[in-house]
Formats: sequence, C-alpha cells, structure tokens
Amino acid sequence: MNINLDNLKNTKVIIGIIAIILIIGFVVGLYSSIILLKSEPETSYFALNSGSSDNAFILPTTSELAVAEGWEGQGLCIPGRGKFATKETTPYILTYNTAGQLTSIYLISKDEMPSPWKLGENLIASGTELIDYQHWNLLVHFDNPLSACITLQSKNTTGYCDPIQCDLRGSGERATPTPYISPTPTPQASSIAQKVTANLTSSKPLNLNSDSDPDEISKMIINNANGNSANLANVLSDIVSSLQNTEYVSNTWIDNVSHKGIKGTVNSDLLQGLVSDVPSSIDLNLTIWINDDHHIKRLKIEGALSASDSSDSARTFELSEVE
Amino acid sequence: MLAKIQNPKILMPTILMLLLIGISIGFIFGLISSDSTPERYIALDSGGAIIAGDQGNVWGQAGTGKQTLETLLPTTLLEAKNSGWIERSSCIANKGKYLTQKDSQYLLIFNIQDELIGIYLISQSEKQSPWIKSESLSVGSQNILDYPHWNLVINLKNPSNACDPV
Repeated sequence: MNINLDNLKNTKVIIGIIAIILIIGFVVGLYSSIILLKSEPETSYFALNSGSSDNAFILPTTSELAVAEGWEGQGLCIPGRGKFATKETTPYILTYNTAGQLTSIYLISKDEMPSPWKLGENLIASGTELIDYQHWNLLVHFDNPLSACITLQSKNTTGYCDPIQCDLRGSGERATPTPYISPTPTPQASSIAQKVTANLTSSKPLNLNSDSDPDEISKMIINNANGNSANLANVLSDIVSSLQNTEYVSNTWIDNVSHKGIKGTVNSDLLQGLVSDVPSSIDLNLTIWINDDHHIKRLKIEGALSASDSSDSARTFELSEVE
Repeated sequence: MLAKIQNPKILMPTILMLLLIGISIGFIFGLISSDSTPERYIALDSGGAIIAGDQGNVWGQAGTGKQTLETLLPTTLLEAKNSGWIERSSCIANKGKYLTQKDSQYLLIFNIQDELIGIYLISQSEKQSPWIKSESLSVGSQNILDYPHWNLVINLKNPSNACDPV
C-alpha cells in the first residue's frame, strides 16, 4: 500500500487522521473494558436459618419454583405488595412481582411482638382471605415493593405467562378477549383543584401534622392550623382555589395508596392565617397530593415563610380529618 | 514541523501513541460507565391488613397514619455504622458478622465484603418452626444476646462463604 505522505503537509488532513486514530482507539478501549468487566449476574439466594441443620429452608426465588414446590398463589398483583403465595401449614407468606421474582416474605405471629412488628386484622388479597385471624405481622422486602406490579408488556405479547397466574388453576382455558374501551382523557389539573376546593368546604375539621422533625416555622403553622381546626379547611380552600399555573407532578404513595400530585403557585398573603410574619405578596410554590376522592392528604410549601427564612425552604405537612 | 511528520520513523510511533491514548480514554470511560453496582433494597415493613377499597384491595392503614411504615435497612457495613449499628463480632464462618443497635428487636448480619447478608429476628415468646429456640447468642466469650429467646434468620445471601475473601 502506497501512502502519499505529501498529503501530510495539509493541516486539515493531519487533524482528520488524528481524530480517526483517536476514535478507533476509543472504540477499541471501550469494547475491551465492556468485555473484560462483563460478569454474570449474581444468582438470588433467600433462605431461613441457613447453617442450621434442622430448620433451614431455602425460599423459592421465582414463582415457577414456588409452584413446583407446592405454593399456591393469588393472580392479582396488589400495588405496593405483589402477588401472594401461600403454602398450607407454613407460617409465612411469600410475595412475587410480575416478573415472577421473590420480593418479600410476610411473617406471621399469633403472639404479641415488639416493633417493627405490627398488629393486623385478617389478610385479604384478591378477594381471598389468606389469614382469617388477628395476627402480628412483619414484612421483609427483598426488592422495592412499589415496583412489584410493573407490567411485562413485551413478555406478555410474546406469550409469557406468570406461573402464578397461569398454572395454578391448571385449566388451560382460553381467555375471553377484553373489549376495547377508549381511554378517558386526563382532566386538567385546575379542574381537579376545583374539586379539591369543593371537598374542603364540606369537609370535617382537619388536623395538620408533620412526620419529620419540624422547625420553628413548621411548628407555628401546625399550632395555628390545629388551634382552629374548623377554620383550617376554609384556609386551605382559599389557598387551593387560588392556585395558579397548576400542573401535575409525580404521584406519591401515602399509607400504601397512590396519591396524585398537583403543583402551582400561590400568593403568600393567603398563608397569613398560618404564618403571621410571612413576607407579603410573593409567590410560593404549593404542591398537594390527593387521593381518588379528591381529598388532600399531604401538602408541601416551598419558599421563604419569614424574612430570615431561605427561599429554598420546603416544608411538608400531612393532613387528616379530626376523629 | 510538518516535514518531521512525513518521516516514517516519527510517523509510526506518533500513530501508535495516538491509538494508545484513544484506547486508554475508551477503557477508562468504559470502566467509569460500567461502575454501576445494582443498588439493593432491603426493608422491614409492618404493613397492617389489606382492606377492600373503591379501586380494589388496598393496603390498610396500620394505626399511625404515617406516610410509610417501612424501615430501609443498611445494605453495607459503612451505612450500618453510620446509622448507629455496632459491630459485635468478627466474621464467624457460615454466619457472618453480627451488628446490634440500641433497642432494636433484630440484629443485622454482614459478610466479610461488608454486605448485608442476613437479619436475625428475635422473639421472647414461644414460636413454632422455622423459629429456633436459643439460650443465648454468643461469639467466643462475648455474649451478644444473654437471654433465652426464639430466633429466625432471614438469609439474604448464602452465608456459607460469608467469611471467604473474594
């Protein structure tokens, strides 16, 4: 191969060649690192009392294994929990996600147990009563339960069938096609805010509290709000009805129920009933999280609520009805 | 300068050097971008009972009305120590290292790679299998739990190689 070295007198050609050589090197280096660092994913292992000769149980890490080992499952995936699988005489319940992976173990105790155990009533899932007595329970999650029910559309379209849904009943029946229902348009955030306002005006007395350690301003807001619980609904009603630039923001889980988030700006003057020395006529960001019945369960106020307060301040409050 | 580049004795080493620089940059970039150890999510949750809701079954409130009843557990020894857990033993073969926290009703178990591999649940009331009755939990001469109790270990990784260096 003859290379015409005369071309190397041209600076543009030289820069082009340098760039090409560097790019080739970069690609070679990148692929080398990917190949060298590629490792097999670690196999899941979950067990009870491993190392104890008498009472060791290796838990089935997939719903396929669970079915093979005689576990019976519930078809419906419960958001935030997964699909329950039970086995007769076994004092715990397993849950699997829609991908069929073990995500948690639900431990049961008939005797009183200290925190973090919690007293529960009967356990009903998918209309089936899995535990029909009062019991103490503790869940140990092996994965984030909020992603337990993420659908596997690509797998489903290629014929994938979760063993818990398909095999347990063993019928092999062909499913009835679901009739097409056109999607319901999502209502405007502002129209939802109107429904929230309407609910507030007719609501029971409300109570404001904070899960986190509240600062002085938050304490003042809570005191002012709860000092006149009957009026709190009216104050909030005024605030929500005056929300400007409303938009949907991320949903959140409260008490394991998904709540819709709506954010907007509000004039600080409307908060004077809650914070006496709030700077006047400034825009504050307000986010509310509401349930399906359009009741506020949480609100977040962002912005300076006093002359000395930081404009980056964010305060979150939980809202509940007074019993 | 350009005349020097035309000299094959200089040209070839220059090309090789550029190639090596490119390979090095690509390799380092690959190393950095692939450094994504999947984050583990291990949590304890006292969730309460399932109740029927308007949109199907929902998880019922379990008394406190708090946002969540989950306690996210530290998945590395460093996180655990930063959260007030105290290492109470060296690595015990087929078990791991035990960590305790004041007033906690369970212990955490880590392997020699400092990964969370187990949770040691404690009950002072009698429990059926798979719970095991123990008079105490001791490591050598040190008593970690010095009273009779029932325990259940939830293994999150195989403890058989808990103390084996990689």
